[in-house]
This record gives sequence, C-alpha cells and structure tokens, in this order.
Amino acid sequence: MAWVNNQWIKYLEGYCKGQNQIQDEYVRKVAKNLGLDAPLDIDFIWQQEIISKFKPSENYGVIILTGTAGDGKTKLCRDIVMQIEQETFDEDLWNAHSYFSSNERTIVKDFSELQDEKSLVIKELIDVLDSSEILKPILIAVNDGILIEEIDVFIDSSGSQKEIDTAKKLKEIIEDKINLGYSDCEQQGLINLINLSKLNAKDNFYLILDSIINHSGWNACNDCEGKLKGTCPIYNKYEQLRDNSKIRENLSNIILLLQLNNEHFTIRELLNLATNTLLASTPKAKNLKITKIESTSPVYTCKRVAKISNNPEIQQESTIEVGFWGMNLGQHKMNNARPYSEINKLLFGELSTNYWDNYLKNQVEREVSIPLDNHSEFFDTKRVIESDIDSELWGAILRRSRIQLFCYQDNNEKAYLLQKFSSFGYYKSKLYDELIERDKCDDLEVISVLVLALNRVFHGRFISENSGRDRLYIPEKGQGSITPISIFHGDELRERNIYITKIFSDINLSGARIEPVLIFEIDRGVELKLALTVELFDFLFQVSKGSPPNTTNPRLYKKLLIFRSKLASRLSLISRSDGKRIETYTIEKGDFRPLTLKVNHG
Amino acid sequence: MDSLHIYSSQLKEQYSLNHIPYIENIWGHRFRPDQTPSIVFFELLCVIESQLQAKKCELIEAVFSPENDTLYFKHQQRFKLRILIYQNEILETIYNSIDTEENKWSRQFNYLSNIEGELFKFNDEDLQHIKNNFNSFESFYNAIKILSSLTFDPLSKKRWTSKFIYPISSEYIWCDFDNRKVTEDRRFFSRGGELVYLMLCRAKPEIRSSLESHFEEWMGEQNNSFSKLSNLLVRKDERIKLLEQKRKRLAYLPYRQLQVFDILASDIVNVLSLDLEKLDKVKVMIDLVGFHVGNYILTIGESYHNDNNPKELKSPSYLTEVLSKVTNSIRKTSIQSISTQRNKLKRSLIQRNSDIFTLYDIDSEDENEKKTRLKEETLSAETYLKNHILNYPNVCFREIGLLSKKNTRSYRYVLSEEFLHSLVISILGNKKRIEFNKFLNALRDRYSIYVDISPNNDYELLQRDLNRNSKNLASLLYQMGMLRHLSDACSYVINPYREDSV
Repeated sequence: MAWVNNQWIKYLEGYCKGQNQIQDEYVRKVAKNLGLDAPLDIDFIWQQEIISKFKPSENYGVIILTGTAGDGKTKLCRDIVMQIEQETFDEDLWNAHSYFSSNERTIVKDFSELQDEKSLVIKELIDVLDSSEILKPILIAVNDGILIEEIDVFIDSSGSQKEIDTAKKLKEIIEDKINLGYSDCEQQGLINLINLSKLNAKDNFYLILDSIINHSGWNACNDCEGKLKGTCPIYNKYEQLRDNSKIRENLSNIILLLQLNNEHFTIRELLNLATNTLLASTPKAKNLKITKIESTSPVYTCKRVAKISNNPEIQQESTIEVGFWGMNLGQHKMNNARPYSEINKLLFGELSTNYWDNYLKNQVEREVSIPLDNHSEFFDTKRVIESDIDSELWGAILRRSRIQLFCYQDNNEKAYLLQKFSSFGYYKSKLYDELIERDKCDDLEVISVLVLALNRVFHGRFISENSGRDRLYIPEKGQGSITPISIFHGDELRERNIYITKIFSDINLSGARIEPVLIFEIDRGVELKLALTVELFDFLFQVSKGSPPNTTNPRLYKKLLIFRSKLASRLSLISRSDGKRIETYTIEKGDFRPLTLKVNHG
Repeated sequence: MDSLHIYSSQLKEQYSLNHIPYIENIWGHRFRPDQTPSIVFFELLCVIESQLQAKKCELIEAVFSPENDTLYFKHQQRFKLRILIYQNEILETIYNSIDTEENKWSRQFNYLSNIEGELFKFNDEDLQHIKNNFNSFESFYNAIKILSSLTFDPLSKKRWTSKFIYPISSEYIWCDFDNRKVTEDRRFFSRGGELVYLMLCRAKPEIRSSLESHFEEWMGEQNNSFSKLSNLLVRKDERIKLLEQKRKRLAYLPYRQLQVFDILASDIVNVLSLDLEKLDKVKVMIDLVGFHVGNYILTIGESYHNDNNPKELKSPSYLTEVLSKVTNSIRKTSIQSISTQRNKLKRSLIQRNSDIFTLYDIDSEDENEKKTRLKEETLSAETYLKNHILNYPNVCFREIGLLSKKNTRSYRYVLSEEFLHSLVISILGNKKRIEFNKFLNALRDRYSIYVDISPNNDYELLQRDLNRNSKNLASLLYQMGMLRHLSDACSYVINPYREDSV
C-alpha cells in the first residue's frame, strides 16, 4: 500500500487558492495540464434553461446577462454562442475578442473589455427602444454597474436630445431591473435582463458539492493507503459529505439564511467554499484548536497528508466545519474575506441554548459524536479547577462541538437557535418553503405575528395581542419617522390586504432565488413592498413576543418608522380616507376614544 | 468680495448695544454657543412667520428679499398653549383624583385663572373655549399629553418659556421668552436664526421665490390633527403689529452676497420640495442649517486668514471619519484639521483688525488715544472670538452629528447615522437612488465632506485608510438600509422614502 498523488485533489486545490484567478479559460487550462479527462463541469439547470432560449434560428431579442464578477457570465455566454454556432464555433477567435457583431446578431462576451465599441452597443440598445422593434438578437454580458456607468458617459457626450432622452430611459430600465429585479417603466419588456446575482446560491452550493462528490476523480483514491486505513482527512470528509446528505443540507441552509438577508455568493465563491470545506487543514487560530497540531499550509494535498497521517489527532482537528467556516485561513480572513466573513457573522457556536447544551452534555441522547466527548472530564467542576484548564481550549471545544452538532444533526428545527437569527427555522418552514410551491403566502399565523409587531412598532406602544393582530393601524400623515409614538390614526389595512409574495424577474428560471416581500395592498393596483429578510422577520418575531422594538434593533426600528411614514403618505393620497376615516382618537368633538387598540400597561 | 460694513455708531444705535465687538463685522451679529442649530431653526421659523404677517399687511413685498432688515410684528408667543403643556403642574393630580368631572374642571380652571401675570392668566373666554371643545376631562388631559410628547428635547431643564414643540405647523412656532422680566429673551434666540434668515434673503432671486412659496404653504392653514388640537385647546393669538418707532432691526450680516448663502437656500428649497412628512423635513432642515452655519463661519476664516480682500470664497474641507474601532491616519489628520481651522479663525481677526477699526467713529484726533482704543477693541474682540465664535462651528457640527470625541480626547469630523441620513435625503432629493461613487462625489462637491480621498496634498493620509473609510461608509449605509450592494464594482445609495423596498 502506498499514498497516491491524486490529480483531482490537485485540481480542486486550484479553487481554494487565489479565488480571483479562477476563470473559465484558466480552469479548463489547468485541467488539461493535469491530464484530467473531465474537469469539474457543474450542470446548473438554470444554465441549461437560459441556453435553451437561444436557438440558432430565433430572434430572442435583447438579453443582458449581468451579475457580479465570478457569477459565470462569460462561461454562460460561451456556452450560448457554442450552441448557436455549433461546429463553426472557433475557440481561439472567442478567446481573442469580446465583441462579435454582424447583421444576424450582436454578442458581447465582456462589455468591460470593449473600447470604442461600448458606444456602438449602447446605440444599438437605444435604437431598439426608439423603434420599439428588435431587428436582430443582442446578447451582452456585463458586470453590474459598468453598463450604467457607460450609459452615463454616453449621455454626457451625446449631442442629440432625443438620444439623451432614450438613453436616460434605458438607464432607468436597467437600473430598476438590477436593483429591484423588475421595472415599471414603459418599454421595459424590450430589454430582458438576467441577473446572475439573483440566482439561488443555496441550490448552487448544494449542486457544487454534489458535483464534486460525484466526480470520477475520487476513483483515483481507491488504492490509496489513506483511504484504506482511514487516515486521510480529505477522504474522510469526502465520505462524510457523500454519505450524509443532511450535512450538505445543513451547510446549504446557512447559505440560504445569508441569501435571504440579501447576501449574494458568486459561483466562484461557492466553489472556493466547497473545496475549502474538503481540503482545509487545521484551524490557524489557537482559540479554535482542540489539539496541538500545527499545519504549515491552510489546505491539505495528497503529499502533505501523507507526511502527517501518522498523527491520530488529525482526524479530530481537520473536520468539515474547519473549512466551511474558514478556520484554516486565520482569524483575519474568517472575519474579512468573503464568503467566510459572511458565514462568521452568524456567530455560530458562540451562541447556544439550554436545549443544545443539554445535548452537548448527554452523549447518550445524540447520535453525533463531537469533540466534547473526548473531554467529558471537564464537566466535573472540581476537576476543571484542579486541572486549571486552558480557557482557550475549553472555548474551542465548546464552539467546535456546537458547530459540529449543527452540521451533523438531522434537520432539527431547534438547531437554528444556534445562530444569530433564531427564528430562521420558523421562517423557512412557514414562509420560504411555502413560496417555493406557491406565489403567495398568506398563512394567517405568520401574517398576524407580523401585523402585531408592526402595530407595536408603528404606535410605540405595547399593543395587546387581542387587538393588534387582525388589522394594521396606520398613523395619520404628518407624524413622520422621528416620533416613536404615533398619536393620530389615519387608516387601517385589513389582514387580508397584507400578504407575502416573492419578486418576479424577467425570465423565471428554476434556479432563481426566492426573495420574500411583504405586500401592503392599499388600494386596487396600489401597493407598497417591504423586503422580508430573515433579519427583519426575526426582529418582528421578537417584537411580537414582547421585545421592545427600539432597543432590539435600533436600525431596523428606524427603517420601519421610515416605512410607516411612507405608508401614511401613500394612504393619504387615496380618497377613501375622506369621510370614512376611522380615528382611534376622535378630536373633532374633543372626545378621545382610544378604544380599538388596547395598550398593555406594565 | 462685497461687504456691507456699517459704521459702528450705526450698529450701536441699531441694536441698542453699548459695544459692538469688531468681530461682529466679520461673522455678523451674532452667534452664541447656547443657540444650537435646532434653536437657530426655531428662531428662523419665528422670523419667517412674522415676516409673512408683514407681507399680508403689505409692509414688505416679499418674505425673502435682500431689502428686508426689520421685524414688523412681535414673534408669536402662544403663552396659553405653553402653560397648558409645560406649566400645568396640577393636571396630573386632577386627572388621577377621584373627583367628579365637574370638580376636576373647576380645579383646573381655578388654577389657570389664578396664574400670575397678564400675559399668562386665562380669562373667562379662554376657559369657556376649552370647556366647549372637550366633552370630558380625560380628553382634555389626553390632548395635552399628546402635545407634550412632541416637545423638542423633552428632558432639558430649561424654563417653560424656552421649551419648544417641533414646528410642524404655524400654531407651534413661538419665541423664547424671559417670563420674569416679561420680555423676549436673547439667551437662546440670540439672533442666529435672524442671520440665517438674512442669508436666505440674500440668495439668488429664483431660489428666494421658491423659498417664499414653500414657506407660505408650510405656515398656511393646516387641516391635520395637530393643528386642530392646538385650536381646540386655546384661542388664536392676535398678532401684535409693532408701532413704527418700536420696530426691531434684524441681525447684522456683513456680506451682501456669498455663494454659501445660495447653497444653504437651495438645500432648504430642496428639502421643502420633497415628498416627505413635515416632521422628517424639520429634522433634515435643522441638520442642514447647522451644517451651513458652521460652514459659513469656517469659510470666512478660510477666506480671510491670509487675505484682507479675497477675490473668491475658499471652502473649508471636512476630512471625515466613518467611525472605526482603531485609530488611523484619517482620525489623526481630521483632529489636526480642526485645530488648523480654529487657528484660521484667529488669524482672520488679526488680519482684518485694522480694516475694521477704520469703520468705527473714534471722536478723537489723538493718535495715542486711538491706539489705546484699538488695543482695547482688539482685546475685547479676541475674548469674544474665544468665547463665542471659535467653538460655534463645533456646537453646530456636534449637534447635527458631524463632530465627535468618541474613542479620542479631541474632536474630529465623524459621520453619524443621523447626519448621514439627512445628507442622503438632501443629496438624493426625490430620486430613488444614486450610485455610491456619485454620492461620494456629491458629498465632496456640495458639502466639502471628504471620505475616500484626501482634501489636499499636504495631508499625510494612507490610501489604505481612505479605502477602508469609504468601505465603512458603504457598510454604515447598508446597515441603515440605505445602500444596495450589487457587486464589488457597484453599489447604490437608495432613498428609503422613494425606493420600493427597505
């Protein structure tokens, strides 16, 4: 038996290192150099869906592929052109140029790389809006913002007022679509925008992990000593991920939670995260180590593992959570380098509950083994004092045990209490899962929780559960967003006029992310939207349970007061308030009747 | 630069003061540290309200006109409303007592009708007005409680005649008053608001006409619950037109035209034209008035510290930190810049000293006596500068949230959430969003607030710190719900009042 140097592991290491360099062309080149027959090719369904829209003979109109650097725009563009051109596709020509324009179509591989052609492309888009007609298909891959910047430059340099007006319209449509996902402007239907930043990072991450795990490259490990003796930490993590889909699910749900708080992860970041999860060595910071092992490199390769495999502690130290939380990269990167900085904001392992701490202590009650099991003597307080345990070690054991328990548990609803937004489990089951199936969530229980909390925020009083759940009392216009207590009641919205839906974008893809939004239907066709992030939901949930809004999260509180002001202003524009206004406090006759909303005192 | 210097004797006569410090010929008559930007704004509204009355009586042609230099009406006093809100000590006791409704009213009316002072005492008509409008004592109590919740700085220990309600309608605009001497007081209304009014009067004509129409609407009849409430509690005050010989001259602003006046006025017009609630507008306007007053004082210092007759105004720059945990080159430089700006104020006085002295009528041919007078005046001006002017920009910037000592011993420019909120509203106006880089440009161009680049080459700033500062600003805006981060290359500052979703 001997240690095998698996090229597939070497290839994966490329994703961990210098993530900015991971580009489509580069990855294909590395795979070729390493002699891999099949580089990692992830079969994203959304990619196939987009590609299928580009049939060679059809005029698919204007499609702008936008997103953050690393979202895979260039690769997608290449795949689309390959499909259109089929056997005539010239790889060298594709790599050498960014702008392909003919009478049949215009394709821009990377708008930021264009020089003089930028204004030609913008001119083509302006012509589409001016003529309201699409004569040839146009496909443009561009980073968020760069197109807008260039439209501004175009506006500044143009001498024609008509051209400037249309360019402004174009800018507004594109800005709306990249900011909100939709636009209410006229002619917006002519410009389709596929924003890859709006894809579902959770699904993408799950798929990436799946693709890596199911890759044939692992077959090269079959005869390796590390696999056969069970001493290779990389292979052990691979097996754990392969055999326990719940671990993959739990890790993906963390991505989902962050995504629902408006965090976006690019494909490049997710690849980095997935490969680091597998290849991470041991934690760099002392306060996260549960053994005394030191690693010279943040990631393991076959060669490095072969050298240290004799140490049995390596299996304890190099586990899945080390890579996923970026512990191998050091404290600074954990807190400042994406995607780890975002994951660590959730304070996993630092927070806990009695429920989970009981689990931690009682080995018999759980199936999962955790680092604490090897240090059970620490539970004896006397011994802790006598042994003068290193507080850093104790902290590391506890934190790592809590995280492992979260990673390996089997969809336990209470597991979510281990993170900053503890109502996430409730949010996911009651709202998010519902929106996967349907366009609308009008679960009475959820809506009444939100309405009660909003009433408490809007009125600055501890509105009773019995009076504040079935309708939202909106203050009279004029009270602004700086007075915490709203005094005069303007109007009200019934529970049935408040519901949760998701944002619909131009092209509905199966991989599109779901962005829940709370709709306040003020009148027919008049509505206000409030993005319902997990953070906001958690805040409202806590307020509905009795937490004071101003101290629970002052910033969200302020945002909601601004929203109150917006809602009151919008309501005041609608004529129905004339003569029909119900005032909680009637003052025309000098009679105050604070009857509708009861306030809990004390 | 154009200047309006008036001889000292005229100034003395105009303001009935024995001694006009030199310094008031540099910055105006007058700013005092007790008058924070909020109080400046309240005084400004008082002046505008009085001038509107004068316009109605055709005493002036326009509320905002460069010719306006006199007040024709006494400021609104609204004593009875103020007594009900701030001096009605017995109200709580009566409300909580088990007395009959009739007894409650009788005890309350008895108290109100026995208040000392002609101006403050409630007469029968006042009491009848209350009785007619309220069906129950509880409603009366609620009405007063509601109004007191709108008090500006409710925890302050100021006398009741120096307390204010947010001026969301003309009923709640009133003056500062000394209830013992029974006269309008100049401690808090020390004419800072009048100076701001004069600045607005000297802005460009097109801006002035917009200001006029917006403020006429602001002060006009309102049909909201707050206005109704005031009218239910007290009868409307009769406005007191001053006799010709008793008309008061407004403050003294020594410049006929400056660019800073135009910027201030256009900022106020922008805010007034927004589709925002009045209370929100008040907050933003207070911040902008505070900023522009502080900026005006420093601009004069910046322009005159080494030149008696500068051709154009030099704007001070505000190297501003977005609060970070660790110290950096921005923090150190910002602290230094404040000290430099203070020194420039001192140098401006020295620079202009002898020029201003020629404006004063010294009734003496004796050169020695003149020299002694000059020395005395200079000393007096230096004391005045030290006590009132040097710290005034700090007073303004501290209250609005542009200056802080947090984590340091000295003041530096720090962007607080509150002021940033006002800046976003002011820069975006009715726009839904603006790219982050353009927002940074607007901060620099319009307010000389530097976050991501150095204001000048003399500063030894690390590029790394500037980048981090800009990132911190983006992160602060994001946490405030005012930034949408699309990618590393693209973020939008969003207007929460206009954009569809928080």
